[in-house]
Amino acid sequence: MSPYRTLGVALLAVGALCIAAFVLVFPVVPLAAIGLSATIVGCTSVFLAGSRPRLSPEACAILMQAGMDNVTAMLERLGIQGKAVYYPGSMNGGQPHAAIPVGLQERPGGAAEGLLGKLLDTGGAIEVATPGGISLGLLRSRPGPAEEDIRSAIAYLVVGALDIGKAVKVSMRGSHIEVQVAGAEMTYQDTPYHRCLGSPAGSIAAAISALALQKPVRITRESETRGTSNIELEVLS
Amino acid sequence: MRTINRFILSLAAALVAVDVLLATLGQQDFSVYYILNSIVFLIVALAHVNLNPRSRHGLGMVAFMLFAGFVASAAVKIGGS
Repeated sequence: MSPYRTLGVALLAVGALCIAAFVLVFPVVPLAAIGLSATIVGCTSVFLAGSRPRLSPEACAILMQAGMDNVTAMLERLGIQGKAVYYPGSMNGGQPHAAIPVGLQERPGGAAEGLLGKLLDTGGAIEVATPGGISLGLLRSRPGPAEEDIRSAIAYLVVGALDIGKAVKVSMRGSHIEVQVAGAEMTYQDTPYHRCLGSPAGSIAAAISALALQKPVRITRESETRGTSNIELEVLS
Repeated sequence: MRTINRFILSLAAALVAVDVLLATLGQQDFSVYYILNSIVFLIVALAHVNLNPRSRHGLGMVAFMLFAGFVASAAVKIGGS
């Protein structure tokens, strides 16, 4: 049983007993009110228990790690060091993805083989799904292009839906957007995956900015200072 | 701390604070406690608008139950007077 449900049922039982005892048997209204408060908190806890995902956090972490390792292996195999470009679904006629540029100059020594080699030789880009692009499905509506709209949408996903940060600040200056996520979890690490696609919070910020502005967006820099993730985005024309 | 934990803790703290305040003021009407507890619940829920949709649905259910209790209480009082 979920710990929230256990807590809720216990509080409901104690609260109901308190109300019954201090209203009917020993009439003491303030103590009955404490029972009422316990009942409200218990009821809330029971209802919130149903909102937790059925998959355990450990299972989610394993699935995410496997996906990241696969992309990392691909990036290392191809020798890609460029940064991915996030673009809105409307530019692709569907799901918002990120394009990882695959330039001939970025290829390590020796020719790659098979399909990957063909991709390299075309000098095009590899389209990949990202945490940010997938999480856009959780948004209630498409954010507008204003700074506050973008901040609100990022906060909704990062702080509320995914719970990987505590507060979000956004400032826009021309084609540059600076996003600060306080109390961020899963922060930027110097790995091929994060260098290319950004941290989960960075990926969400980039995907939302691309959707809101309807323009391609690239993460130019990510850093962490005193528990706050600083994400710098560049809007491409 | 997870958002839901923060919500439950802040709700419990706010409800107890209201109860203690009303008890200190000598309030003896249970319906006053009920109404103020309901209002505090709504305020704390509004302060956590970033909760995910399923959580907000759950909070909506609790708010509906509190409102139903308020309507029932008002109906009993009107019927009794």
